[in-house]
This record gives sequence, C-alpha cells and structure tokens, in this order.
Amino acid sequence: MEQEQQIVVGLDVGTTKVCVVVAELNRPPAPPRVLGSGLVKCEGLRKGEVINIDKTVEAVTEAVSQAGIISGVDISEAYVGISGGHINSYNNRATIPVRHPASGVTRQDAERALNAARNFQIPDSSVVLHVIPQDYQVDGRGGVHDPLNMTAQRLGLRVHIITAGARALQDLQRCVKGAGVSIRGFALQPLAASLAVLHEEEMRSGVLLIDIGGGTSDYIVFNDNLPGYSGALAVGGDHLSNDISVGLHLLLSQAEAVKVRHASAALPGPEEDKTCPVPSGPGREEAKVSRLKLHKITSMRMEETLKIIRDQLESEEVLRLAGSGIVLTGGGARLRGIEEAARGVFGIPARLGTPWGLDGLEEIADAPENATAVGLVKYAEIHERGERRSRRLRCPRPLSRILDLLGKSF
Amino acid sequence: MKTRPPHTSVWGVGGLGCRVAELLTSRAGWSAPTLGLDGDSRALVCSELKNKLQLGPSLLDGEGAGADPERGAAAVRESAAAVRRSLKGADSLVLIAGLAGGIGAGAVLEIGRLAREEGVKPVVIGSGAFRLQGRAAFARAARAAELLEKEGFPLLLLSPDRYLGGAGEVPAGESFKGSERLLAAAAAAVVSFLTRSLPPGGSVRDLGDVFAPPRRLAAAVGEAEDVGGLVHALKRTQTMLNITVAEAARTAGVLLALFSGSPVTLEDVNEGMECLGEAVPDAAARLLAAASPGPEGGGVEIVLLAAFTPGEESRRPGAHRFQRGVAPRPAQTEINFEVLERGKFAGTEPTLLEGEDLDIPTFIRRGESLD
Repeated sequence: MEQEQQIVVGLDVGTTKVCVVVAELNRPPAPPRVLGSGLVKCEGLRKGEVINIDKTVEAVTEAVSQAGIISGVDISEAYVGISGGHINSYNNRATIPVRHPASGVTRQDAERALNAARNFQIPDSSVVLHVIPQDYQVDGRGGVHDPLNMTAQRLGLRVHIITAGARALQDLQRCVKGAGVSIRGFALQPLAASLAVLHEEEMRSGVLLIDIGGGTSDYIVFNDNLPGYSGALAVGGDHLSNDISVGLHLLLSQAEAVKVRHASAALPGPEEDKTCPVPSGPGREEAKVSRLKLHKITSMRMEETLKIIRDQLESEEVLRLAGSGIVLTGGGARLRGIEEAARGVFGIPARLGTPWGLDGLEEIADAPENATAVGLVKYAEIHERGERRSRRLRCPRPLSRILDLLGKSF
Repeated sequence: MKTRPPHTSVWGVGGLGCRVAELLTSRAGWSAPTLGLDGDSRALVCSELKNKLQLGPSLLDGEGAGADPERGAAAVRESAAAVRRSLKGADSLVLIAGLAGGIGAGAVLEIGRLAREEGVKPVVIGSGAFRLQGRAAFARAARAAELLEKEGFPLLLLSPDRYLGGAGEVPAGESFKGSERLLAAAAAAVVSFLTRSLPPGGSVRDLGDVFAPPRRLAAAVGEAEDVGGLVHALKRTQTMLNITVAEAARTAGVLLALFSGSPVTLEDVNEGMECLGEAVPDAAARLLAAASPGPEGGGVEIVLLAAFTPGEESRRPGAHRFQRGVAPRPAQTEINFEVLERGKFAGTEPTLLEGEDLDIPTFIRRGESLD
C-alpha cells in the first residue's frame, strides 16, 4: 500500500525577511526532500518582535503563497521560529526523593523530578517555550541520562528552560494565523538553526552557535548532544546598517547595500581600494565612501556584539562547554572577516554554518540566512516522528517525548 | 508619564516561610507573586505553592540545612543565578522566614543582599525561636536578626512568645497553625501597605523606620462582621495585642490593614484610625494599608501590627550596639544630557545593557573618531 505523503513546513518570520521551506518527510534514514521555498522581504518586525501586524501578515502571506506555488502544496500549518529580546533562558535543578528506592527509579519518579525542575517562577509576562532536560543526578552522581530502574534514594534533574514574552508570542501567532496558516509548533530560532548547520560530532564535543539575524543575535551552547544554554541579544544586522547610515550619512537603503557588498568585521588590508562605491538612492547620486571608515564602523559593532555574547557566556560559566568552537550562521554571518573576528574574541576555532541535510536543497543551500527555516523543517521531522512513535507506544507523556526528541534524536 | 503599580513579590524561605507563603496564596484576593524557597525537596514537593525554588540542590542534596545558617547561606549562593532571575520585575520583596532555622537564618540575609544588588527593596518578616526549640535556636534567631539589622534590612521580627500568648489551653498543633496564620496576616498587611492604592505611596523605608529592631513587635488579627462594627472590633483587636500600658506608651508606630469583601469608606477608615490613635502616643507613626480585597460577602479582617521601643529592663543584651541602617544617599553625579544619534531606532525602546543604549552606533558610544 502506498504510504501517505507527509509534508512539513518551516516558517521563519525574521526581522528583515520571511522564509518558508516546504519539505516531504522520507522514510528514515533518508532525509526530508525540499519541495519548494518562499522568500519575501519583511518590514513588520523590529529587533525580532512584531511592530506592524498588517505588514507582517502581508509578508507571511506572500512567502507562503510563493512556497505553495513552487511546491504544489496547499500550506495550512507550519512550524514557526521565534526569537527576540524577550527570549530568556534559565537553568534550574531539583532533587526529589525516590518513592520506592529498592525498586529503582520509575518513570513516575523521573516525571516528578521534571515537574519539580520545571516548577520555576518566571515573570507573569512570559510563557515557557521549551523545557529541555539535561542530566540526572542519582544520589548525587551526575551525568546520568537514563536513570530508569537505577537504585537510588534521591533523584536530581537539571533542566534548561526557555521562555518567550507572552505578548510577542501572541503577536507572532496573530500574524501567522492572519496569513491563513495554523501553528503546529513554535521553536526557538537558534535551536532550529543548530539542527540545520551543526554536525552531531560538534554537538557532542561542545559547540557555540551564533545566529546573527537582522534584528537579533541569538546564541546557543550545545554539549554532550544537548542544548545547555541559550540567549538572545537584540542587536543584529540592522544595527550594522544603522551605524553605517549614521556614520557615513547615507540613506538606510544605501547603507544596507554598502554593508552587503563591502562591509567587514576587520580593518581593510593595504591591498584593498581606499574607497567603496555607494549606489544611488532616492534624491541621492552614486558616491564613494572611505573603506577605512566603513570597516571601522562595522568592525567595532561586530567586535562589541561578539564580546557581549562572550561575557554573558563567561558569566554563566558555559563558554568552556563550547570546546569544539563556534559556528556562525544567519544573514549577519555573511559579513566578511567575521570568522577571524570571532576567533579573536573567543580564542577558539570558528566556522561559517550553512544548511545541510535535506534533499533538493540546492536553491537554499549555501545561504546561512536560510538556516532557521531549514532547521525548522528538521525540527518538524523530529517532532512528527516523535509524535508518531509516542502514539504507537501509547506513551504520549511529554517527558518521554522530550527525552526522545532532545536526548537521542540529535 | 506612565506609571505602573509597584510590584511586590513575596517569598517564603525555609520550612516555616514556605508554610506561611502557602497560607498567603489561599487568602481571598491574594495576587502578589509568591515563591517558596527551601533546601528540603521533600517539603517542596509536598507544598501546594505553585512556584517553588530548591536552594542549593548540590550542596544540600535535597535536604535541609541542618540548623546551620552557614549552609543556608551557601545554598543561596549556589542558587544565586536562579534567585536573581526570580527577582526580575519586582520593586520590593517581602521575605518571610523562621529565623531560628538553618535555611531561614542563613538564607534570608543572602537573598536580601542579592535583592539589593538587583535594585529590589527587601523587607524581612521573621519569626523568632519558639521556647521549645531551646537556647541554640534563640541564639541563631538573635544572630540572624543582628546581622539583618547591621546591614540595614527592614525587619519585622515577631516573637512567638507574643503570638502564642494566651494559647496555653489550645492544643499544640493548633497553636503553631495559629502562629503561622498570624505571620501570614502580618505579611498580607505589609504587602497590602506596599501595594496599596489608597492612600498612595507606602514605602519599604516607612516600614523600616517604624519596625526596625530593637523595637518589639506585637501582632493581632481581629474580625468585624461588617464595616459598621469595625471600630468596636478594632478595639478588641487592640486588646489582643497583649501589650502593657507601659509598652503602649512607648509605641513607635502601628500598621493597620483591613481586608474586606465589601467597600470600606474613607469615613470608616478615619474612624478606625482615630480609635487607634487614642491608644498610642501622638508621635507614633500610623501606617495604613486600607481596604484591600478580602473574602467576598464576608466580614472585615483587621490586622494590626504594633512596634514599641523596649524599656531599659527588657532591652536584649547587645541590642544597643546596632544602629538602624540608613540607606546611603546616592552620590550626586553629573548627568550627560548630550543627544546621541540613534538613527532608525530613534523613538523606539532602547536596547539597554549595563546602562548603555546599544542602538546608538558603537563608534559614537566609544567616542572613536572615524578619521
């Protein structure tokens, strides 16, 4: 009997663009196959948060329509990425007494530990997006990933909790629904991007992913195959364009064009031209600006952004977990010299992360700005397979699903 | 200018603190964010509080601090990041703890320090030791109070001798429950004072000025069937304070809170305060947390807290050594009013990090010349 085609859709509503990727799930280990994508400029967000519902709905509608036409799929639901300065993450830990120590740790004990660890006061204006179990401590011995049936008096659990601002989440929800698409699930954008650009070996060894988008720079640290720390800084590529516009007295559209073509995270070498051409804009003729000034502006901003992230990770004592290095992705990662800048600030290897791991990816591959949308498809694949497996095993408990999804499938 | 009502969080610390916090959340009309913090995971699991934070899971391994305040303090230091995050959004913090316990005695001071670092103003409502807990517990509570006092934390320290007074014929279990209810009522009164809308402006400092040690505190809860019986009930409640005439003459201040399901008019409140005023010296401060929501259709719950200066004979040894903490005045510094270019981010909410607006180009903030 022919199996029903299972389609998943990743929808990345970014500060500067909306990207939709439609894919068909294949029987594992074959990767999902991309059927189509849509990419539309968006002016409805600032710093990752919706500031204009109508403009955002319009952009989402157009991107969904593009992807629908190319893929031949009537898109009705999607996995949606979320980011912004309203995102917060917390690490919490709880220890509970095991109910019947002699019989070993049961699934109920593990669930109680999870409930105790997720029972964490968050501001009233926030909602929990992800609760990601890290490791269990069995009578104080840490690093245990599967404590079931182990003899223990006490069971501890560390979790990573990611929250989103309730208002920001509702606004995004309204925009997506306004475009006629229902939301199958939300995923933190850097978590999705990491699925698109990181390799399993990197996640196991420890890696820092920095996703530099238009409005935010999101970061996530993986170690031992699990995300252990994440955060978002409301500074992104838009800030680079704004700095150029202010510093070189250009229109924002001119500044954007100069950024894309000539900006760098390092000062210019002696062999480079002293000036860069600036395209004409409304009421402005073509011009030239000093390359040294341009690079000074952009290198200072990028160095500062990376240092803020470094300092945050150091203060949380998680930078040491990123042993294998840094992977830079998102549209901002296209800035020339950014890998060297990251190496200089963090003192560890850095590479550019482009999406991989889907069939038919040619059109959107090699583009770090598509990492989140591609990652959302991979997130959807993991989520859908997890749901199916849970249904088959009649075990729809969130704990088993979370462990299954985030503990093993990565 | 837009203003928002002050946000007061309430944290129960340690076993007694968590039980009192639980009682608070079950009060009609209770809306303050409430968190229970303890090292003992078993107690936390059993607690019906919605929000709980386990202190020092590594250090204490899910157990209490074993009556060791040092371990209580170390447990907070281990969980400092979580404590700081839980403080987000609060303007003031009411900490409730039994100061004779290891967690209560050790953790409250550490939490208070973290709160101050985060710009949150803490008030501590502490219970002293019960006689049955023995001398060591008395010493722990006294030491904890001294340290809090030394660092200038507003402290309302209720002595169980006071709130168990007259409970000799009541079964022991009931006495303890009654004492927890009284502590909860005192905490509700303080929160009501800090968040009141009528009259506006209750401050942590007012509480500190009136209630800080070495003043002795007395608390009582009374009830009136309706607003009409308020004055009579208030007089009864005053007598329940169980203070002597000499103590009444040394009253430094009173805090009155009324929790009512039906509206209490300004006239009712005036009458109540006048009645109260007859019993205390003119100089005594009168703090009012009036007309907060109470049980719908029920009567009026009256909570009365009184602070009086101890007489020479009752001043506890060493108390004179400590001056009540006075919050240092912030140094006046020059403020830079230079207008900085924000470009496309002009008019938007700034992206602030350690006082810097990251929307302003880096080179401008760094004062770097582009030439």
